Amino acid sequence: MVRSIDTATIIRNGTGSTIDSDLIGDNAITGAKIAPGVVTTEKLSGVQLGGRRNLIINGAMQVAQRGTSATGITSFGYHTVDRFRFGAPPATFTMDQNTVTDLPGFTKSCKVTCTTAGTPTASNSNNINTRIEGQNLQHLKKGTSDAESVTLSFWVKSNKTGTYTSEIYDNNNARHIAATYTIDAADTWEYKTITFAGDTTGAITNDSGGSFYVGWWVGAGSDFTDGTFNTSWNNYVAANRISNAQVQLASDVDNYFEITGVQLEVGDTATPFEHRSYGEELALCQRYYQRWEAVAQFDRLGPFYSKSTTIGQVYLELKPQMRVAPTTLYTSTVDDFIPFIDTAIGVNPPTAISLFNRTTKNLAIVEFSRTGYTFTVGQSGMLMANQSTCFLAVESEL
Amino acid sequence: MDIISAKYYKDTDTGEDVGINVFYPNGQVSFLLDPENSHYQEIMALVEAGELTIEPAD
Repeated sequence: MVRSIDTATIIRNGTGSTIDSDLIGDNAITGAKIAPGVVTTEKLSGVQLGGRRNLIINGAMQVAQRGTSATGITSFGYHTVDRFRFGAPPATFTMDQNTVTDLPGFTKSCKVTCTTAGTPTASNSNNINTRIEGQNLQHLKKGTSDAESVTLSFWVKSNKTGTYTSEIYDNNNARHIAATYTIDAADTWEYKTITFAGDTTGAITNDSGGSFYVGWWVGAGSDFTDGTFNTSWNNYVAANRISNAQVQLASDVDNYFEITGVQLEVGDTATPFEHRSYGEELALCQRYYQRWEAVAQFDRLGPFYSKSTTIGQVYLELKPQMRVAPTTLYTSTVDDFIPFIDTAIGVNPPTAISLFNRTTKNLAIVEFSRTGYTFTVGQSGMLMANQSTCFLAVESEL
Repeated sequence: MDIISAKYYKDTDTGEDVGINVFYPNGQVSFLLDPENSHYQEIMALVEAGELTIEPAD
């Protein structure tokens, strides 16, 4: 039997129906012609099409609250773009939130560049990594027979072609899985996808702690490369962690590695990058790091009250609520600040600033002491900037 | 970045040491005595290596 849908043709035979190579015409199939229940999620590709797919925060590297460039990096830390840690000891690197002009759809990347070459010692790890809370991974059903696979996709560029390793480390159960990918052409953006199988062993703890560490290695010492490279989920063995073909980016000055469009999603298919607005990404990043900074002298940073005749406490409301109560405060030098009550106290800076230990997830308390003026206990005032470089920041990173 | 100095600070309610201020040329990092804090770990490693002395609190 042959029936026509506009110019396309349905051909029915003994094994079912097919549609010939012609296009189905415009408006040939309307909603009214599709019976209820015919198109189900099972008939789709099997990937999550709706909702938030990307488990990675700041995957397009839009947010860099700490600054857009850091130099002299010799140890691991959060240096520029939010949520992405980097270190490559014993070499020295710069890390930039780089402006991208040669990858349509993306405007920023995370770029690390070697400024002093160095050969990793046996125990040195060199990588960019980002960490994910356990409570955000429960839908992977890790540690059950229904464990989901995940697919990592990203754009990468380097002057140094060759084999690189990407991995997921399960920090709750000390398990890991890794895969290699190849940068084929120098100085050219390449799109990479890696599917990691689901792990039927080791449930993820349902809390705000770091559970998955997703890493892009740029070099490694022999402690990480001397074993049998581990491409399936297994208990942690350092020597099996990294491919022994791994590129050593720190081998030469000016070697660089640049990455953006990072996405980790459930399933075995890499879907297009989930672009989120800057405001959404910033709010997600502020769960881990919040910053108050001046634009000009005398900008107001926050109100304080005088706890004693020499000590003031500044109250900084944390919005959104942070992951845990922050335990680190970053500031510019004390000379950058003015505790202002009225003109009579002048513009003398504090003598010390520190993080008060009764800070919570919702409220950071910054304590300062000051000499040369006696507060009246309970007096209120405003902490102001004495320099445009003035800033306060609190951190509860993973 | 080069550390200029490091100094314990007290809880102004109880008078007990609760944190460390580490001073750098362009700013400072203030952190609680929390073994999970990465700055605490790094500073204590420098102390153990004999590369840094932390001044007592005022």
